[in-house]
Amino acid sequence: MSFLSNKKAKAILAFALIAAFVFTLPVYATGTKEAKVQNKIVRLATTTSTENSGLLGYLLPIFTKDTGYEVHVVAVGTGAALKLGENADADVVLVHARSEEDKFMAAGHGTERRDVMYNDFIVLGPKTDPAGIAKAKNAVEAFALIAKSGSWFVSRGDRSGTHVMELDLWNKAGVSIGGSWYKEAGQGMEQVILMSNSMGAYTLSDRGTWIAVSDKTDLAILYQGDPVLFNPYGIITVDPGKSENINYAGAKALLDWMTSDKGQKLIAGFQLKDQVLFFPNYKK
Amino acid sequence: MSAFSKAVALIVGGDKSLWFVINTSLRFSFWSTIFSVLPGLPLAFMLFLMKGRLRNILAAIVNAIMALPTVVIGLFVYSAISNRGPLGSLKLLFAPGGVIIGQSLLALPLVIAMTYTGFQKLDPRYHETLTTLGAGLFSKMAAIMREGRYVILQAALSAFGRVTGEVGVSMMLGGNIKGYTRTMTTSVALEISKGEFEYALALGLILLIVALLINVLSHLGIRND
Amino acid sequence: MTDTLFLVEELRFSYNKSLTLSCDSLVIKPSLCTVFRGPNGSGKTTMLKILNNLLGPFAGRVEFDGQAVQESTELRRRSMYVHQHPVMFASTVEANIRHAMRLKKFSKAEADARLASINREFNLDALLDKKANRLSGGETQRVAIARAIACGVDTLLFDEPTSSMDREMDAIIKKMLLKLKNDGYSIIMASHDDELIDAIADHVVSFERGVCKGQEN
Repeated sequence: MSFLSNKKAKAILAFALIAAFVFTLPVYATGTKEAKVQNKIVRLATTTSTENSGLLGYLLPIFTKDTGYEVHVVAVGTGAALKLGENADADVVLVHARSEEDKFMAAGHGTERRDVMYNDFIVLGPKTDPAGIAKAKNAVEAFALIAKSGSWFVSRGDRSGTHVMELDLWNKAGVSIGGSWYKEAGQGMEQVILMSNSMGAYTLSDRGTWIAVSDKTDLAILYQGDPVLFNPYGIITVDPGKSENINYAGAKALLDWMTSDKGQKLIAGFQLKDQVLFFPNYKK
Repeated sequence: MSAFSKAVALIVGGDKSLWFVINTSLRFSFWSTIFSVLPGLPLAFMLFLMKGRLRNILAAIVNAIMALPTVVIGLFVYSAISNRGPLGSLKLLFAPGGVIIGQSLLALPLVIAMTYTGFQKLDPRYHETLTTLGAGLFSKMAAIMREGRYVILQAALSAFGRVTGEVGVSMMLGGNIKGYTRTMTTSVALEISKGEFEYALALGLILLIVALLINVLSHLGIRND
Repeated sequence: MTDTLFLVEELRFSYNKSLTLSCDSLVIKPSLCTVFRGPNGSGKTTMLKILNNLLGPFAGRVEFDGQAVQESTELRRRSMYVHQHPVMFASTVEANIRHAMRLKKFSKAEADARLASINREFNLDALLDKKANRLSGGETQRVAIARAIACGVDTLLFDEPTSSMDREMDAIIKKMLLKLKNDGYSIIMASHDDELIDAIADHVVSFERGVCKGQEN
């Protein structure tokens, strides 16, 4: 038989169950509170770059204080974020892939699109720069050099805005991708940078993510500055005609706030490690 | 070592966001366990009472579903609760309700399979005695469940462990929304992707402790069986 | 009540696709003691369980009091099978007996009266408060018989009631069985305890390698 008496074991089990219940009790209360303000919730589908850089964590509490709306951020790739909007599973979308955004608007999924801000893409690689892209005249040449040298390249491979930009550059450089040098990660930007670091590979990143993780890697910015690498973010309110579930008033409030003087100033003031990440660019 | 000690400091120091995430996880797991055990027990009992080929086929199906990747379960539920799905108007996607539905479905085949095999391993004389005593369906179920209570306890603990440790369903249906549906595992996935290993490690330690507790409790159950 | 309690015709029972029991014809009369005799694995237990509708499906016909056992409403009310090593549920002896009476739909008052009566008859005082699943083999057998009687059945099916117990306990069980027979209960039991068979059997049915042979007196 047991080293414990049956009774004792029962007591322990009962205690554990009660403890689990009591421990979780405080949140049942907050759960009901959340439910009461359900119509005050705005569902924002966005890319990992805005969430993980800390920009939204810095902006949204101020937005909530100003308007009373609480924002639920679902951070996914650009493709998935637009899909959430298309299916009316999000009220407002903040992404960076202009051509996809235009398609989204043309298909009638959104009611209004505004430029919000931009950051830029940079090409990262090992400090030794085996492909010699630091001397490239433009971004397309830099990509052509990487392919020519046979150096490894890690791609997001997730239809994110970054991935779309990358594919566009390969296309312009006349490179057909898919060799053993080309690694499709299917993961977020930070993970892809960390993978590139451990593999000694090149990759394309947005500047914000790079600043956030740069001190964890031995990679360096090897190419930057070509206007082609300009990375504009757009905010789109989803068509409320799609579903009764859409909180259009909240979505519109967020769109207006992000493009207001206050919102734009706050974006410009957001710094990570003393560097500005996003440049406001809304033009009335 | 420094990452490890920072992780311990986060836990011991009562880091607010860390403990909120832990609480969210355990709360979701608690309800998912309840909602998988409640339908799981009668279904397992039906399977136990059945005979012949149909039972074998159903048992095989349950086992097959158990082997499905969590993201596939997540996808099924996603298509049901997305705004376009039949349950879209309930607004369950990217909300606790969605996660709990997904996790309950994830744990359900596990609960059925574990209790069903457990009931089968019970002495067949219990079932025969109940039959010769003339017990009806519900009396039989009550008596078999009483005899198999440690089996049920273990199934519930395994279900709890399974849903606490899974990431696919929580990520897909919860959306990893900060302060709302962010659980331990989705948080670990996020922090690893950000390279914030201390925070991820702290959560990893908590997950380890939860897993250990479940095993200890489960072990006590076996010893008293 | 007719003169035939159990009737078996052309019975064929297979388990895992191999024939494990066949019986062309068997008639068991009420208020008598019928003993199934044969070595281990000869089909005695299988036959007892089929008679009590605990095993199936089978080919052929098995009737209790004129009705097929699968459909008989009387079978559960009037008969009970007692395992060679009966099992008790994890509660007290009294709770086990009361549980059985509840399943038989006896009211609380009836159950109280029946419990008092079987307690007198079988002298269970020392056992009632004990944990039923911690009893010795002989004690469990006694409680199982008492439980069956408490449920108001008139037909008892026993599987080796006196095997693997100490002699003293065997003697007690034997006395109980004889008393039941004298009280008019129909008893069908599997046994190879010759001493018991000589003392109690009205009919003996032999079993050999899954075949039930004719009856003898």
